[in-house]
Amino acid sequence: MVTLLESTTARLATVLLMAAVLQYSVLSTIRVGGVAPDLLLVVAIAAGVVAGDERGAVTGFASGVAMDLIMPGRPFGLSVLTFTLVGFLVGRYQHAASNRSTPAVVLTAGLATVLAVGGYVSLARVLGGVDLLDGRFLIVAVVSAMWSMALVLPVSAVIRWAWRQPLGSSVWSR
Amino acid sequence: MARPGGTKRRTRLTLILLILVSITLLTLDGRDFGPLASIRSSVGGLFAPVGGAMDSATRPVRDAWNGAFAYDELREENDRLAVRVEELERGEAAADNARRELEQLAADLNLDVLSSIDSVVARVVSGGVGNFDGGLQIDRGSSSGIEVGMPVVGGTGLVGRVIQVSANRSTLQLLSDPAFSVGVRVVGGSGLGVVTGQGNLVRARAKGFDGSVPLTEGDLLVTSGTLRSLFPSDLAVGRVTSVISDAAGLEKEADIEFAARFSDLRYVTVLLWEPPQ
Repeated sequence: MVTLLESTTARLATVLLMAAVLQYSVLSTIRVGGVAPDLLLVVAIAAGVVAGDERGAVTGFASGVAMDLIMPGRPFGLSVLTFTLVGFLVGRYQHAASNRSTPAVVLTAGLATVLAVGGYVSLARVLGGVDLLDGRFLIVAVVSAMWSMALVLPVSAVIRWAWRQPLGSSVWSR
Repeated sequence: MARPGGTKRRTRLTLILLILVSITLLTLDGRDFGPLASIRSSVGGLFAPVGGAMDSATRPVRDAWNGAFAYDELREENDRLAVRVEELERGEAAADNARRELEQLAADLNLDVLSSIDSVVARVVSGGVGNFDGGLQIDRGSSSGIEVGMPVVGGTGLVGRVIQVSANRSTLQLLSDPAFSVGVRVVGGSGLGVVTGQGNLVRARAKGFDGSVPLTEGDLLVTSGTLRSLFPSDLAVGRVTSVISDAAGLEKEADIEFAARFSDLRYVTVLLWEPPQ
């Protein structure tokens, strides 16, 4: 088991599996204003923050696949595309940003979540033919952003472990 | 910090590849690609027992969370339920009488009634997994005879349909889901329309009624049960709250309030009914 976890792929797979199980069983039931945390999205954001754009996109892709697999009511591929783009954009932004402090990372997570929710709803309409733009959109965007801001730091630590990103080598350093 | 051109190119190539794969997945899903649905269903089946175990293990924590953050809501709901129980007890005798009359009438006319459809009562174990999936999970699955596509009712009306089944758990798509549509007709009338969810758990809009159809506030809409309908006829869908006619008077739309109360769903009934081929 220890040997297996020396592989980055195995570490990432473990993290994604745990995140999917937590999302499916626990986090989906803990709601504020009817909105649950989106842990798999936070994983994509944290990967962008910690490991940069390319790894952010790859992790976002994998976490999107996990999300679409456990969420049967929506077209398969919507979360995949959204999370891939968000992971990439966060990584790209973190790379270019001059302010990489912890508060900036937390704020980035919030903004990226709003972007992801907006992107998901737009893609659902354009590519999936599903109109999700209703009165709940703003509430979901705002509350999800707050959840992501609360979760991004601990999740970043886990992603750092998964991508073997030593503290100080990542795009996010204090 | 500048990055070498090779890395930039590789990153761009990776992103394009991932986007193409995502769009391919979306396209395959849109074309009902069987293996994709099977993989999803298998994953649902694998996660179901884990979800059940975690559900039990974390119940105290969730109860504490709900107690802390939803105490007022729970109290209001409790009061509302108490009032509702009283209303239902008052109406029980009348309903029993009406049911017998209906069954007698249906037997005389040689019609199927809902009571003749086998059903399974299931407990709602959780809401959707994400914030936009608009689904519910119940604690009964294929081992109870449930199959994908079966209609689900909750107390007073149609709740939705089954979209994923594992041995002991099923996922429902709710009537309120924007991806959900059902053909309806007016009780006592002849007009046909379509109700599509709007993401709202209380209201939706029924469209496509002919302009000449008499449609008034308070009318009850039920499933039409027309040929190849995905639902049996006469399941209550909602009550008309307002009617809108287009300028030319050719078509009518109606805002409706759902017959089912989604906020009170604890138990639902899955009708073991399959649409005629």
